This record gives sequence, structure tokens and C-alpha cells, in this order.
Amino acid sequence: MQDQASIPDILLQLVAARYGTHLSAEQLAEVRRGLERAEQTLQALRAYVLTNADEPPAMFIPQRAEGD
Amino acid sequence: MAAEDAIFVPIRQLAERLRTKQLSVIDVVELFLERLATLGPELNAVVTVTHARARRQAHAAQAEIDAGRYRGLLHGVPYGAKDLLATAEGIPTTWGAAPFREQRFDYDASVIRRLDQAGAILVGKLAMVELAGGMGYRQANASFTGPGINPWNLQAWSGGSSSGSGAAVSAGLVPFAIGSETWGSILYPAANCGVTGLRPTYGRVSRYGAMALSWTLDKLGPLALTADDCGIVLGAIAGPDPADASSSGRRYRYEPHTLPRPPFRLGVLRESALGVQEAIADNFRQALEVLRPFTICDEVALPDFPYEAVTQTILDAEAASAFEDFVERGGPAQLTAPECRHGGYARTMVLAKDYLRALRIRPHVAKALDALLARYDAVVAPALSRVACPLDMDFPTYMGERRRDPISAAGNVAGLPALFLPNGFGERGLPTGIQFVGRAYRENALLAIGRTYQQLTSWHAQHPPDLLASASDLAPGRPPPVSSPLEGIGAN
Repeated sequence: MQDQASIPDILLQLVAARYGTHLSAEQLAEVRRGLERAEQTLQALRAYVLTNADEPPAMFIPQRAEGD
Repeated sequence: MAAEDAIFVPIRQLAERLRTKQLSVIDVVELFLERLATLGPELNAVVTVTHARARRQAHAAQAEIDAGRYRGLLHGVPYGAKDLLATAEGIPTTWGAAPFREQRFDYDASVIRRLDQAGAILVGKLAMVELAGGMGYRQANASFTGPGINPWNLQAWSGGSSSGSGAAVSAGLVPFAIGSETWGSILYPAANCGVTGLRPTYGRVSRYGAMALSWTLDKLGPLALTADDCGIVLGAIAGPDPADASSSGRRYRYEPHTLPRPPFRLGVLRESALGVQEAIADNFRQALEVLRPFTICDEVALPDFPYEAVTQTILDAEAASAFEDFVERGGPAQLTAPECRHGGYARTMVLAKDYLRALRIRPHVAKALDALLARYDAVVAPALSRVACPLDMDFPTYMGERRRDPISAAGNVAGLPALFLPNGFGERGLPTGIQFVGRAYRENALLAIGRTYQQLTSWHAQHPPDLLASASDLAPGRPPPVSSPLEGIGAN
């Protein structure tokens, strides 16, 4: 398993691979800071205990055209 | 009666003057068109003044009133709309962002359509933070129309992200405005500009035709002079809409004589006045004192949840998806704020499992908050911890830390209504505010509290000096564009 501290760097590689043509080196450094902040946010999220029964609220509504 | 007698007049009084023809709809609309055209740009509050549409609507409204076909309190009343609401007739809908400044829709957003049906008259599309802050702004200069300028202090921010909506109501450029809130974007401009703002329950107002930032967090609501005004507007725009799957089937009615009556049960949020500016704490205590004869107060704490993490993760994931195509083609490079040119890329890395985790926590949050709010008409706290940020300072430096108000995160992620009222003044002559967060679909309890408070105080009736006299002096006072990308986040 990767060390937590390296996750922003791994994600930054993905950002650079996908969007690197749109971003300067300075901007990529800012993106990395954003990824660090996001990782801290996610740690708080993951600390909350859920069970298998906890579902996300469902929005999808099966469609059936009128008259069919 | 002169048309100027329509400025800073609450809707109920303005409606009576229009209905009884003490004021002409046409004259009043012309007055607000002129104010928007002259003062709006000085405050960077306006994107488009909708002259042709407004004049056509004004003549139609006046003809109907003359013929005795009065539609109700909003008939003939001008208003402005945040420029993320689609409007037909060739009127641009820019989302506050340079890449979209020529964007046009061939339909009206449901909110615009409902206000049309009520007889209200659209006089302007109001400025906003680019993409409602969806790319992560950290300072005021984050819109192609320039930083939102606060009518109370021209060196302070008015936003955001509904910056123009707050400033335009505060400066008397429109009697009321429509704003949107994903996380704080009605709260901030209402509090910063000293006006009354109502964040309705999620789903209470159709989002159809509004720019999507976060489908499960976005809400539309009014900014106005009084709580009564907000109720009147909500009464016109609320209700189910087949075009928006998230709109609630619950009907809403605003009738003052049926509102809840005192005593109101308030949960005063524990330690909410700690760490705020001294005047904000003082004004908060004084507001509670004013309400004391009409309330039963307990001290309460929010249930323990990672509110900000849940809200931020949902917002990040949904915004990344909502703007995926824009980000993929490098669109952010054309945005105004330097930090917005790269801020959308980190969000593309939110994992599906983390987004779903936030969504799975959300029902627990909603259930716990509902259990708390079932015991109260509202939980109350200062609106913000600091008065409006100076235009030349970035938010993290001004705020001192990255912490955001957890009650705002909690209220938004649980889709709860909130009412924001002005309650005095603080540093640099800027307004302070108080917020009341209520149980889902209980906007009327909040409005009843707000009406009571505003019957006992006059903060909502204080207005900045009319800028017409000093408009020529404003331009030199404007700060240069802020360009340093720094830590922190603004309201969405």
C-alpha cells in the first residue's frame, strides 16, 4: 500500500498526463497543493464509520414512456 | 409621488404604491434601469441591463393594473437575477466567466418564468463570481466584470458568489434579487452587504435553467430588504417543477397571518461567537437580547460529523463532472482569477468511492440535524466570523485559517433553509449579520423570527449613502486586480 504522503504525487502524475498541456509548472505545483488539501479532507471523511447497509440517497428514477 | 420613492422600499409597500397608481410601473422600471446602468458598473454589480425586456414587461404590467387585472404583490416590481439563470430574448447568460460572455439560451429558467407569471419585471442580470466559484477562487477579483464592490465600503468585497445580487439590493439598484447558494453564496453577499437573504430548503425552488455547480447542493433564493420581502419572493418561485427532478412536491405558501407566532424556540450554537470579530460577537449578543422576550433559548452543539469534508467532497466531485468538458478543453485558462485557471484540475481526481462515501454519510447528517432541529424553530449563530474582506487582500490571509463555518457546511449538505439578517455594523463601517438555520421545509418559522426581529430593529432599514453623488469619485479608488494565488476557498 502506498504511503499516504505520496498520494498527492501519484494523483499529480495523472493530472499532468491528462491535462499537462493546459498547465504550467507553476500551476502544476498549485494543483499539487490542492491535492494535498483534498487528501486531508478525505482523511476526515474516511474516519467516519459506515456499514454495508449505509446507502447513498438514490436519485435515479426508472423511465417508462406514457402509453407504453 | 416621485419614482424615487420606490428606492429602498420593501416590496409590500412598493406593491401598494403600484397597485394604487401612486407610482407608475413604467416610471419605477425606468428609475431602476437607470440606477443599474449608472451605479451598477461602479460596484461591478451588473452584467446586462435588460432594457428592452423590462420596458415591454413594464408597459404590459401597467396595462394590466390599469385594467384591474392585478396579479399580486410582485406585479410591476423590478428585480435582478444572478447571471447564472438562463434568459431568452438574446440576453446573455455569462455565468460570470469570460469564456461564456457570449452564451445565450432560448428559454427562461423556471425561476425567471415564475417571476414573470407573478408580474415581476427583470431589469438586470447581476454579476457573480465566475462559475459561482466552481474553480476555487481565493480573492475578490474572480469575475470578468471585476471584483464585487461593497456599497458600504468601496474598498471591501460584496460577495460572493452572488456578489451582484447582494450589492444591487444593498445599493438600491433593485428592490430584490435572485441568488444561488451551493455553500455560502447567499449567506456571504447578504451578510457582507447588510441585506436579508433566504436560502430555501434544497428542492424547494426549481433549479431548471440555472448553471449547475453541484446538483445535490445548488439552491436558488432571494436577497431583499426584509424577511417579509423574502417570503413574498419565495412564495412566487417555490413549488414543484417537472423540469427539475430534484424539485420537491411540497407546496409552499407565504401568508403572514398564518406564520408561527412567538415564543420561538432557538438553539444558540455553542461557541459560535468565539473567535469572531468583537463587533460581530457584540451584535450577536444584542440581537439575542432583542429577541429575548419572544424566544426560549437553549445552548446547543451540532452533532459530531465531518461536515466540511462531506460537503467539500460532494462539491468537488459534482463540480468536476459539471465542468468536465470545460476543463478537458483547457477552458479555465481564460478565467479571470489566476487560481481559477488551475483550481478545477485537482477536483478531477476525486475517486468515485470517496464521493459515494460522502453521499453515504449524508443521510446520517440529515437525520441527526433533523432530530436536533425538531426541538427548535431555528439554530442561531453569527452569519460570518468577520466583516467583508478588503478587496486587496486574499481570503486566507484575511480569515487567518482555512476553517469554514461548520453550520454553513451542515446546513448546505443537509439541504436546510436559512435566513440571514443584518444586525449592526462592525469594522470599517461594514455590516454584520445573524443566521437562523431551520428544519427542512420550515422556511416560514425562520421568516416569522426574521419579521419579529425586523419589527424590533432598524438595521434592515439602514442603507449606504446614495452613490450617484459620488460616482465620479469611485474609479480612482478601485484597487488594482489582485493576482496572487493563495491558500483558502471562497463561497460557492
